[in-house]
Amino acid sequence: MRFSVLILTLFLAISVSGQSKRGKPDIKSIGTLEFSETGTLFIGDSYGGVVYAIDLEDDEKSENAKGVSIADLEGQVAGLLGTSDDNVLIHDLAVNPISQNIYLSVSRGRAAWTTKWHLPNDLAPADILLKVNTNGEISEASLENVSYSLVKLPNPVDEGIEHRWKKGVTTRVDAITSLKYSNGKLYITGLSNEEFAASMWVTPYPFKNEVSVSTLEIFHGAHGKYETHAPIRTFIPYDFDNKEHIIAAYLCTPLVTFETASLENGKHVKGRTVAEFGSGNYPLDMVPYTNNGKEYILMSNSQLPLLIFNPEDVKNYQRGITEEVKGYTGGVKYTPRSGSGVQQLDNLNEKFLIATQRLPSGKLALVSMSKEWLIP
Amino acid sequence: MANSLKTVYCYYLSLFCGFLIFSASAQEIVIDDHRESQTYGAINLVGLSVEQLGQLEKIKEPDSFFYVRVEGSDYNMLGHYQLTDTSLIFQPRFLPDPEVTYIAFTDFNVLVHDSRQYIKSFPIRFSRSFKNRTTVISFLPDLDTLPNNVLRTYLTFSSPMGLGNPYDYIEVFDKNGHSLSEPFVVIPEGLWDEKRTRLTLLFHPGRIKRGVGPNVSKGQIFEEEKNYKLRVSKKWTDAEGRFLADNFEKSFYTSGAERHRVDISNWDIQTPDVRSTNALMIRTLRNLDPVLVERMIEIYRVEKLVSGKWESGNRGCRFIPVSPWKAGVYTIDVNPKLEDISGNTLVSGFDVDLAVPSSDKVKTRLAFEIE
Repeated sequence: MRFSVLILTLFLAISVSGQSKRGKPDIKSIGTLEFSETGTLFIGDSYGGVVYAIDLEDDEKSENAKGVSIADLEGQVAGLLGTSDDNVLIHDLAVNPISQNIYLSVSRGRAAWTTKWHLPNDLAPADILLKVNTNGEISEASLENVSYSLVKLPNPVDEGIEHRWKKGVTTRVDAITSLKYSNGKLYITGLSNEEFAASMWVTPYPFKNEVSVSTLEIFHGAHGKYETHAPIRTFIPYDFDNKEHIIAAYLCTPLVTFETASLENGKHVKGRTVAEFGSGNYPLDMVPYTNNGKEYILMSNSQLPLLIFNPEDVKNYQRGITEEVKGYTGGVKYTPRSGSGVQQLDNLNEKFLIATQRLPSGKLALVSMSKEWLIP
Repeated sequence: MANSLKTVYCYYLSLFCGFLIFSASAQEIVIDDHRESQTYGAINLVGLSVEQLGQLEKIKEPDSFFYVRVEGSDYNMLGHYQLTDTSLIFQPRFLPDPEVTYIAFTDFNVLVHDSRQYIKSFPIRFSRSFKNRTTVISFLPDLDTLPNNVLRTYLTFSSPMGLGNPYDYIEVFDKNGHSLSEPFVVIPEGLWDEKRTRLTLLFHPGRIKRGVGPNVSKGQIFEEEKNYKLRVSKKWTDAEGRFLADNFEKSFYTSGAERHRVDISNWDIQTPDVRSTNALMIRTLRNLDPVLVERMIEIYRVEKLVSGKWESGNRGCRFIPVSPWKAGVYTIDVNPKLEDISGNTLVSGFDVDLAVPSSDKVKTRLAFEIE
């Protein structure tokens, strides 16, 4: 353990390049997307082990208060890519809060999809960035000549390691599983080469010459044990009593909080497990929203329905889960909402959330969900 | 769209000599359908007049004049343009999909603002004739007669196969061409090897075992002394989403059921010559599971494993050593779990009353000597 800390410390403040330049960023995989409140796009590139900050010059303020919907998103995207809808793979979605344009990371070809456990990033690196405007029109968001800066993650998990139970999938696809921007910092979750692989990198933005990394440990109530190898799948930064926390969800589906002040470089940090939302499920995305003047959190899942939970309940569940949960769920309660097949989520505007949803027809739709409708 | 228009004064068209041509008017579409070509997928509009080419030079974004769409799509495909002294070329961003029909459109209103002009369309298909289109390369056991209680067979493909319920694409027909109802154990993702090139095709054991539910309610799968045909549909797609090159068919005739355990004491061994790499031939009197043979029979000499390759044939198998045979005594160790193609092992028959214990001592080792 001490040895790990030493290695972590050595990795601090190296391999970092924060200067802004213009041109075409050398992105290997457009795996995860996130926007700052000023419209800077962050791209988590797992294969490259790099996070890019990109100025898309998409800064025209939108006052749109309507939803956006596309009944057959993959079919529409297929037209741009010159193929059929079953060859389109949408990896992530994020909304520019300034323009309300919706950005999608996309790749062509999903024939290798062989189990319900495959995630898009397991199948192919995303190499196309698309934009959906508030009229639902799709175009390419060119990265040919943009202003960008980047930060290299110290010690992301090696490419040569095969996923423990997904044959042929390198764990490198999980080097970056999610990233969020909050209060001048970028929080990046994924896997490192550390003894305890589940990691959280934190770096200021604009990028400076520093990246801290902490390894994470949680108690997984469904499995009845402490775990350090599974990465956070989705998370949000959230303030409790003016102290910033991370609310994070893992495979099979523990919900865990970490106080961000504890995420010091080289530290091994234990989270507080506040809920078990049900096993056999990937949490896919998480977004805070306001309903009737109160904040709630909506979570989409690979197998469970849409879930709504109250961040106050998370804050108040102080004792945490430290023993095996005997039933299917435990800890903080959630409200299930209709919306099976909902995958990626983000806030679109004051009134609507935007999501991708696999419909019973098999089509993938871009749907807008009224926040008024999402009553907890 | 990131279109870039470049004027290139070269005889680009010559590159397309012999490629497919789609014609709907004075203009023609020539596509590069050569997979080995650097510009494979290029869609070339030829037959433009000098005046039209001159007008195109002044247009920054020629996608309003010439654009290509997937049939039925409202979106122009991503790609870039190149203007030569004889043609306008659209190079799609991605390789063409032979399963898709593309439509190239020209709108001469953009050039001449003439109401008599209209939008012309040119349907385009790229060749499906893959050199390396996936095929079924073997059906094991490679036999024309199978016992009517055959349990396990194997299909091997030339390339990894994709997602899809295999049983949607595999049927067995009787001699009248009627498809048999539910002959297989349906495992939606199929029983694949790691490379997804070999599928284990398991006939429904519940219909093979006499007296159990499916056998009683639906009857056994195959009758004795009848002709059947197994067909793999070419509509099945491989891991790259391509259809198989062709349907695959395997005809077979059914003999009586084989219900006894495998007894190796009646195997007949033909020894090869010393210092040769000739095959050791074993007549097994039973058709063994050809895949299990590869990993459940081992040959040793002085307690050292002999490296080589097993092959199965009609009521026999053979072993081809990597190194020449040496003089001496060899042993053949057979895993008692080895099965014949009806699921009978060395220990018991597949369809046997387990309440009746077998009194026989199971023999699992044979020996032979090379002089």
